[in-house]
Amino acid sequence: MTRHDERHDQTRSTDECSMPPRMARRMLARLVPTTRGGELLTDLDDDYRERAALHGRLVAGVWYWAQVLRPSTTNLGRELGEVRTMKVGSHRVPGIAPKGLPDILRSETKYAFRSLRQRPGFSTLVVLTLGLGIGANTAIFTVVNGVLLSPLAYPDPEGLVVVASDWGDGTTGSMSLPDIVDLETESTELASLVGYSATDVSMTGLGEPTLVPALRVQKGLLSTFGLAPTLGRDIAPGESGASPSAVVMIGHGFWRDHFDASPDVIGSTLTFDGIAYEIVGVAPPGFDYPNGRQLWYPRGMDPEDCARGCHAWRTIGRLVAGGTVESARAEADAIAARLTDAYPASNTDKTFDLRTLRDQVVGDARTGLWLLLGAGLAVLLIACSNVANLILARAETRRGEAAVRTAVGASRGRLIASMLSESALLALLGGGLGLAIAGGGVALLRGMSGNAVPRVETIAIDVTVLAFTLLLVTGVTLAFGLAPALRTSRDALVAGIRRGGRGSDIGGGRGLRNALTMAETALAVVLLFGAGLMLRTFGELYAVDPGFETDDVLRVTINLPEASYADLESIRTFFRTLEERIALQPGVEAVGSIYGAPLSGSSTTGDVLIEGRPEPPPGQKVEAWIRSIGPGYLETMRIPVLEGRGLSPADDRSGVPVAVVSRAFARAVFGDVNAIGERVRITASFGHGSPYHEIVGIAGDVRSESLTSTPVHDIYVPQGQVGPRYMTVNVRSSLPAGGLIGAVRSEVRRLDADLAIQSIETVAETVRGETASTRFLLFMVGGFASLALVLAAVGIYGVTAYLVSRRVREVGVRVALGARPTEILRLVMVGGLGPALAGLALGIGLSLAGGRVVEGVIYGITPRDPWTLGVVPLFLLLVAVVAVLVPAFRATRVDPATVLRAE
Amino acid sequence: MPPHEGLTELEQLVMLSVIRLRDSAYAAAVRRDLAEAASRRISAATVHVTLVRLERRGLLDSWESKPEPVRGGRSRRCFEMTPEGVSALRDARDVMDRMWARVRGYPQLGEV
Repeated sequence: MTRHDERHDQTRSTDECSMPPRMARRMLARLVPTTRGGELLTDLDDDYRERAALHGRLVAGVWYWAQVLRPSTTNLGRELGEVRTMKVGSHRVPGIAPKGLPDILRSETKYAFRSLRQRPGFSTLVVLTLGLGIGANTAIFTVVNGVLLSPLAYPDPEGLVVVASDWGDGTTGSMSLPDIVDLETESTELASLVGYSATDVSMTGLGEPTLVPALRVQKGLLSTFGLAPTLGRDIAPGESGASPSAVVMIGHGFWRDHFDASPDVIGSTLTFDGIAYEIVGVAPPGFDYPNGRQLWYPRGMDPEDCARGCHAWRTIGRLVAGGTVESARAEADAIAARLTDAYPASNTDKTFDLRTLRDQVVGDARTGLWLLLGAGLAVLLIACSNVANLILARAETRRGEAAVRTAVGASRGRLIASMLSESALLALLGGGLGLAIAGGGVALLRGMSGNAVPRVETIAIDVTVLAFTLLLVTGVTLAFGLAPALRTSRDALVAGIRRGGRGSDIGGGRGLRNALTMAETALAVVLLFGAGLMLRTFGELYAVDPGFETDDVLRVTINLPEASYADLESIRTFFRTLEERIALQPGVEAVGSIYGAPLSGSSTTGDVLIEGRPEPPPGQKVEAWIRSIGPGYLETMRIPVLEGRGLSPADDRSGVPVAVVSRAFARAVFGDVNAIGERVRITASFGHGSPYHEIVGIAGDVRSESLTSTPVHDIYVPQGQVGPRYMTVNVRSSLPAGGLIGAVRSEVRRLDADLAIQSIETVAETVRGETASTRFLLFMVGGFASLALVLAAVGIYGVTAYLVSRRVREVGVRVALGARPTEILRLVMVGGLGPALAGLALGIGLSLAGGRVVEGVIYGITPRDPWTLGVVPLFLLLVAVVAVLVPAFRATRVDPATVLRAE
Repeated sequence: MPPHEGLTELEQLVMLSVIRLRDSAYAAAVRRDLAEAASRRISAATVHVTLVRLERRGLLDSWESKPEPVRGGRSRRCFEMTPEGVSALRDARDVMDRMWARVRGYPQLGEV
């Protein structure tokens, strides 16, 4: 115990509570000089007591700790030129005057810099490796942070919920208006529930006709979001209904762009879809729910058409204050059960799916993103074990240095601090490089993700991301720095001096290095396995036959405004004329329109009644997807007509109502009986009656909903007989389909100058969009796996090369004694491949065990896909053998004379 | 640093305080004095370091005082000026005076 500590102990009993923090005081006692430091300590104690009395013990304690770090505290010893003795082993030897923490940090950093500069190759390799690992992780974390972690930009976002119809077969969909009204009225857990449907309106009167994203609402949404309009009011509950009011609330951006943010906008008129609307309100800045909407106006509803069986509404709601999703869900189930009892015809097998808005927005991206973050961390772990291996190898050669430092009085702690500060410096440089890589990576991810990742606009490097990177850097420092530091500092003096730094292999070091190599090989196997599964999934998706030919087809979606196209004849005439005119364009082979185009996300389902059969009981009704098509559609999409005939221009209002059904529908409904000639009635209609349609043909099955779902039951009815106004015109061309865009646009404009095209794209683009998330995952996991493979190969190579360099004497002796090159080769390969093989086995085990986590993102294969299980280990084995062969061949060329002379 | 190679402002303040405090010029007292008379808040460690540095340069002398005559009373290291210290302090003031004299008549500085 030093003198100051004794003094400390004397005073402790008298005024324990007014003593400074004990640990800080002990550190200070060590830092100040033995002679004449005592008075400084008591002065600081007095100061502490004074501050504690004035500002409280916490403030005083912080101040006291700050004194430990002050250079002036420790300068006293240097001013006195004091030489301190230090304990080394069991001896006391003269040491360097003790330094303060800042001094130690400064000198260690300087030392670390110098020693890293001396080995530029090593330093660059380590910084690059870490930079790639940290950069990949930071980039992925930035995405995870923006998409999954950051809250939605609404007040109290966790209270926002979305309700949908749950059909009990794993599918959910839109709700019917009566269900929405009943749920809102009966629920005590929901403060509000509002129905809406999104549309794009064709805006006229503000220059060129443009398409503006709009929302038709049951009533205003703002109060549900906890927001208030900037100007005027929101849509009132009574304004929708059978005869909706022509009022509209406009978005803040729209107001700024088109009305110069003028407050006089309230009461003025806005014309879209051929109807003049009165502007009654301006939404608050930033509000564009959902997805960039700029107009909100009342949705008209025909009570006859849109009863309980007609599901055309999406919803947004808010839980009551303090309510939970779980209790709201339980209550919604109970209400659904009551509705089933009350309305068996429409509500059997229908419950409500209630989830938070965040879950709805993030959707399927969650699994993929967490998987990617996991993959990124695996790459970082591999990078760390590689770096740890490099540092271990280097530490072996630095034993002499450690021994000398110990001899002149460096403690073990100081040696560890020295090695760790070198690691920290490397990690910091790697972190800096990583941030730069992440910056580029995030831009790349944002560009690449397309519609594979939601909320792309919120993805940015922010404070949370920087904190994450710092955490990574710290973790990385400890991960690759601590083990070598602990090992090298242990018995550095004895071992180092005895071996004089020339060194031969030490059992413990080799064990650690082998373990690291095994771990990184195992992780590489897991990543490669994941990449293999994604590649297989992609292949399966690519091989899916959608039931139609996707190449060289352009699709143009048009929504005719009701005001100017009120009757069936005008709609029919418009689309027929457009089809005819487009067909005259050079290169065009076929033109056909459809409502409910495959993979477009828009479709209508309805219950189907078969003539001559009794109406089936609720729950056993036949359901089908109703697609209204022009005469040329099946030919344009090359959907084969298997039996009977397709639809022709003659199938119009004057003819007999006819239909073509898909083979899946015919099989499910009629079995082996010939379906042709049967008559079916569809309950859903497009507002122009729903008579019985005679089946005149059977068409091939189409994967209309998504590439991964099985073909649904389709009924094609002639557009000339049912409408509707919303159609997608498909154009097959012998020339590249994209080249027709300009011609199609001008044809539409010639027919109706006020019409805005909803969308225009090639079918191939749509299919590409379908596989976007798989492609994104494949690219990312593939990238990580390649990185992991390279790092693992370098690791295996490094371990073997190290093994060879350490056993060069042994090899020399063996060669001198007559060992053949093949024997030497075997000797080295067994030593080098051992850890790689162990890692391979471990990795396969991990992949098999963890397969379930990828189930949600693969298609057409199982997580234990034999193809992947067979190829990945073989591939990695090949890489490992090559990595081992290089140093092994070097070993066979060892010249025994040189080695033995060196002895 | 040789004794006459200039004094920092802090050193001058500390020396002036040592002169004023006479027999009770120990570190804590000097620090209190500077806080009161010169409105300077200087850390205890800095005062200690300055005193030791001035002593090493031969400008101050020090001795251990008898413990204060109370229970637990401490003995203090007290400082006094050496002749070298006095002359260094005077030199420092002369330098300052000369510099000030050269800017006489600069209105913003007031009457010097």
